[in-house]
Amino acid sequence: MNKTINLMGLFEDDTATAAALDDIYDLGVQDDQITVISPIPYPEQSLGREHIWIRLPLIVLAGSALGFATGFFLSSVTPRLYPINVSGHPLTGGPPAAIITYIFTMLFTVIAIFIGVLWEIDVPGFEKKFYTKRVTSGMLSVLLENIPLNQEKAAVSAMESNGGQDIHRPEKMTL
Amino acid sequence: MSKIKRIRKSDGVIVPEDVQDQLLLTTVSDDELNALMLEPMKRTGPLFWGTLAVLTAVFFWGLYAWGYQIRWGFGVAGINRPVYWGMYISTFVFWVGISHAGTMISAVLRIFKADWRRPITRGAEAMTAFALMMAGMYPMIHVGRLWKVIWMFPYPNNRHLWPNFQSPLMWDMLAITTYLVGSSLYLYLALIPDLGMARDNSTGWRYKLYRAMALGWRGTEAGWHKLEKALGIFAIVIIPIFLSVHSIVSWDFAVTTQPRWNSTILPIFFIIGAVFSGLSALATILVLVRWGMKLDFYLRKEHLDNVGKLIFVAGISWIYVWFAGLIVEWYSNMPITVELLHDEWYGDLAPLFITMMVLNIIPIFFLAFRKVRRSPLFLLILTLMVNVGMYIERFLIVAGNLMRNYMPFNWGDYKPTWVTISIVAMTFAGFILFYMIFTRVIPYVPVWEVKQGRLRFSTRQVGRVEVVTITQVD
Amino acid sequence: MATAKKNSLNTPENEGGGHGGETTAETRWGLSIDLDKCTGCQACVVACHAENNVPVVGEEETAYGRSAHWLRIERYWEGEYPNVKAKFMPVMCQQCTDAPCEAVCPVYATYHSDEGLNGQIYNRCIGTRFCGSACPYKTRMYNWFDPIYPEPLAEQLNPDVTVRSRGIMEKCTFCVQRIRRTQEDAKAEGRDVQDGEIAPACVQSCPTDAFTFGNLNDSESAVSQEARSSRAFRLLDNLGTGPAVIYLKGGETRV
Repeated sequence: MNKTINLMGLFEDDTATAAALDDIYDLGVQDDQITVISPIPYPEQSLGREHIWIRLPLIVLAGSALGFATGFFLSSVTPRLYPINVSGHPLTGGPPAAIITYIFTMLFTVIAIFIGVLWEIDVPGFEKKFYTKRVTSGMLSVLLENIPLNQEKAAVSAMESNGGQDIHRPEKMTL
Repeated sequence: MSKIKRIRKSDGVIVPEDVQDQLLLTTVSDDELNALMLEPMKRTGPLFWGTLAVLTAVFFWGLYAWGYQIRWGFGVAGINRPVYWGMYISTFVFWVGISHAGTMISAVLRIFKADWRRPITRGAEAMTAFALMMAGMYPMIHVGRLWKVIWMFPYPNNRHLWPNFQSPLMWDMLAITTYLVGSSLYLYLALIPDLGMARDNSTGWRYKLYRAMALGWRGTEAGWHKLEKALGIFAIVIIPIFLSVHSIVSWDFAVTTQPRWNSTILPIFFIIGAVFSGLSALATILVLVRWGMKLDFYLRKEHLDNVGKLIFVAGISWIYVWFAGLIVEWYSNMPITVELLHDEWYGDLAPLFITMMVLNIIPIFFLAFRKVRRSPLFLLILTLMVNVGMYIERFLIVAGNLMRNYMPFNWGDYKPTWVTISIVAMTFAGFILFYMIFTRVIPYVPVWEVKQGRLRFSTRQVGRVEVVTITQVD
Repeated sequence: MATAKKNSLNTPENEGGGHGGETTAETRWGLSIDLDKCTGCQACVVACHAENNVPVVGEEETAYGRSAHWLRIERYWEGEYPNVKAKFMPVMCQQCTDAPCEAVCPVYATYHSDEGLNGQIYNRCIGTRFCGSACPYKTRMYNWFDPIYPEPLAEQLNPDVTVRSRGIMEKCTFCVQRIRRTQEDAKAEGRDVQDGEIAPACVQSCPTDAFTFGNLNDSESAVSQEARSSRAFRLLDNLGTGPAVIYLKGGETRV
């Protein structure tokens, strides 16, 4: 086994970060070894990496479907299990059932979005992680994980040549 | 002969005031932006604590009144037959109305990528959440046997009893729960990055709190994309919810046979009224928070101006919908409906009605003027007027209309008691109290969104003037 | 019943308008009131209070709309002084076929029974007062406080009827306890309930026999014959609620 190290470099500028990432990719570093931590979201593809991300809409749709089923069950099935006549209405009136079904669909949808996105971005996660507080001061941080020791020099120079600062081997910190 | 003022080359490039405003942000570093948000949260003077103490006292007094009402029965609350629903339901409708504008402004403006929304979204969403909490108390305040309220929940039991999903009150409870859950989660999702920022820049109990609430957020590229995607979906989903909630609240009334309630325009009237009063409450809150926390840097006159414009639009829409309802009621000449109209115009309800119309319409005229909209003091006074006016509107719809019905023998009157007023005051105190605490504990301005917004702006010289150009970044 | 439904709005013995409810039972309790015979003496009101343990709330509360009369005599003045005429109309829960109060209750505390009665389950009521707001006749009474029965009224409480606590909606039941008692007695004797055998408190106490109680779905019964009278009308019939209370108007008391 080759010895591996972690490396973190800070950048002030988004374009410089993208250029540095280019050079790092050229060293043969893989996607899952690179993490960019930024203070704000950048437009997709702007850092030169494209994310294909389709699971959340599916989770949301699943949530909506579950909500629809729940709403339909409560509004259209349960009144037949507990039949009580009121106001000359049918046991399951269409319009009231539509309202209940709609509300449950929406309720489950919002809950699915929330749970789905938390699950997708791996929070809550209170374990120690590589991080630097300078991100909130406006720096972009490029984090390389488990790169071979012999690539360290090349990676450092790839960052430095694109304006990287404070290039160091990071410690995991409490978040 | 009028003279056009010339701008010569020697005058240099003109930078208009609002351009200066927006450029202001680009000259400030991220650290300064963080501090501009986090520092005011720690500044709490005697005025703050004094207000907090008074509000707490009012809140607990209201709780006592509520206990008194539970102990002795609803007779202490001033309602009667036929006015079975009085100030509680009016105030309930009022709070649901207030809650409306918050998430609406945030979600709609996010979808339309209106940049000025950034600093005010969180305040608006928090207003929604707290107003809904207050509204959510009313179904419980208003039931005669609070200790049996669990019967509204569908749980299987050996008595074969089940709640009635055909009842508008069930729709109401569910819709409000949905909106409360939705708007709280939406508020929280957009808050996570700022909690991470606050965690990195604080110590002591604040650090512990922010650390727990930030859930270990770092701001990785993937995390950001997913969060933005989620917020985008949320913004779309929350809009039909917000439209349905007040429709459903209006159906509490519109599905009955009560004259003036049984009307198809009621849902639209409620929604427009809710937006009108909600935006006004938002403007009131923005002015007060801006003054109290000295957040002039973030909450600029530009924002007050834009909210003022929205209030103006909502206001004229409200007049239109009100009139659209009125003309039908007036012309069809149904006896009880006309009796109710006459009550409002010449009868016992006239003072309330006239006050309502004055308080609602006068501000709309003033809000047409830019100078008024940009003056915090004027805006505060005008929006407070709208809020009082809209409260009276709800009172007239609920309690006012119930005073008359198809059986003239049962016409009645309504006088709120100290219990009613204490409990209503409790929710007002509670709202302000929670909101004040919120502003000091949670970063009031979405700092990350403001930082993101800076990417959008650059300027460009057009002739002799510097104009803002906007880059599409989100 | 499908054919009967077609012209149902104007025939009291049938269903009301509505969405097609499923009560097609042979019994439909109804009450007819001959307004010509009513003198406004309030005997029915007193009898109702005594029979159903209805609390007396006092003058002040009554003036403020807190009276608990399940049955009330509505008095309207007609004409200008000195040529005034009083019109009396006893009004109680109309036991509507398509009752606006029933569907709005979130917990089914009020429902429609197989015998066409608009049932009120006191134990189940949580007191939202939605039914009271929805009722166009305003015949639903709320317990604003715990009931007080000043001595010696407490000595004559009817053991067949629940005493309702505060926060509960209540209303005329057509003296359902008497209906049940009579039905059970008849069953014990192995016979059918006779027309006119059941007498709610108001029917029993009326000195001028203005009230007639019986089965509207039995075309032989006295009440259904009265319902077919040309003098018959129902209160707020245009709302389509389908009341089971039939008023007979006449020369003197044009209502």
